[in-house]
Amino acid sequence: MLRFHFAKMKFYVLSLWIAGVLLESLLLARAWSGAWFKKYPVFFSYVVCVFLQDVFFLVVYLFRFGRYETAYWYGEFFSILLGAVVTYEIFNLTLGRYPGAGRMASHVLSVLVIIGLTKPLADALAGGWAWSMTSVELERNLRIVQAVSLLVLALVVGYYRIPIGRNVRGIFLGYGMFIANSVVTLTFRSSLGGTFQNAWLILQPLCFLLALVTWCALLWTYEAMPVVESQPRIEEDYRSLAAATRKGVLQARTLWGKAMRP
Amino acid sequence: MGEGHASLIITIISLAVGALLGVLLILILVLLRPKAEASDATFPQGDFPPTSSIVWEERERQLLDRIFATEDWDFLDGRCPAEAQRVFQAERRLMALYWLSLVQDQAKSAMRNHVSQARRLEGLQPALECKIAFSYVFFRLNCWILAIVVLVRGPVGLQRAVLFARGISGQLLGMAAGADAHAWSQRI
Repeated sequence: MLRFHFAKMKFYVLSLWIAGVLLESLLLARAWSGAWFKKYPVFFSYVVCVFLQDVFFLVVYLFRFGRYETAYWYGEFFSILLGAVVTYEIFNLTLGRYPGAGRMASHVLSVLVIIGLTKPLADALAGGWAWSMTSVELERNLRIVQAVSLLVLALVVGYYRIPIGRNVRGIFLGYGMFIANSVVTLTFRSSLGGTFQNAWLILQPLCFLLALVTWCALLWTYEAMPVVESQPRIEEDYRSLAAATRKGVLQARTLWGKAMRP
Repeated sequence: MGEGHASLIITIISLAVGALLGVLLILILVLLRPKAEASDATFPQGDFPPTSSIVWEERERQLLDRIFATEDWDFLDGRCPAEAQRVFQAERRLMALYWLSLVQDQAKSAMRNHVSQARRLEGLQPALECKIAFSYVFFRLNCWILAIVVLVRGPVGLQRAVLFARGISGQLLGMAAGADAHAWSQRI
């Protein structure tokens, strides 16, 4: 017997859900009409999957409520997997044309991964690792890994002033803000437990709605990536470039030092 | 207790990572997004574009001494009305801050040239890049501290603060040397 759970769903929850589905449809329609889905295939696939998931979950919630929780968590971890691929595409789109900066990002990430894994590995070797973890904690930890990757990417983009186009900036900004908000809300959910549940029901979909609005705004039309500057001279110039830069900064520091000397 | 402590640390780290990512994304992708480079002119390595028409020669060293030295203030102190002293302090403060901005521009110019070239190079060395980045960040931090001291105490006050700090460190060194000598004599 079908049980219709429409009456149990709060109005604002349903509104947020439907608003999300509508925005996803709009984004997909623009991607198709503007033909930019070919330029960002992974991101487009991600939005398609999320759209299908939302529709599926809405049906499950309304007509098979008893299975909703299980379906939700399976879907959530599938989203994390998809999100990892989207993160990879963002890295590729942003740093693919700047191998030096890309190398810098991968080195910094490797160092952070080593630092992050040292304690858990040490605990595991000492037999003190507690494998039990709730679904919320597991999702939070996986989102933190994504957040750290995007953090490193943002730092490298900011430091090297990498020019990125409007579309890539939109994908990066929307997805990054969603991950940032997810980490914060999942942390609160994990720490506060059931008392945060109602707030979580609003904040989680609201975060994704903001991401969808950002994507709709910045991906409304296709914009080509900025032209890559011409290759500098031969690679051996790097050492002399670094030496000249350090000399320039040192000159400035010397002038600063003169002001401090009475 | 141990588990609660670990859980608290994880909570703090998670919140910090989330907040930092959000703030950085807004700063870098929205507020400070790099404008199209005006020119791809790469300056010959070793040369940096002039930040202003000022060329740092011995004459500039003399001007620098005048901005931060105490002689002019010592002359005015007690000799002219309070209003004139206030105007003098304000103008010296402006000069000091302007000079500081020129020094920072010189370093910024060096870094701008560096990052515009380095990002395209495949042979980038991460360790060297980190050293350059840290030295630049450390320098900017020192400039901000100097700017705060100049804003609060003025350039004349800065010199006095430096002299005072040196006096204290000299006293501490003297005390440490005295304590060492005393401990050594006790052992004998």
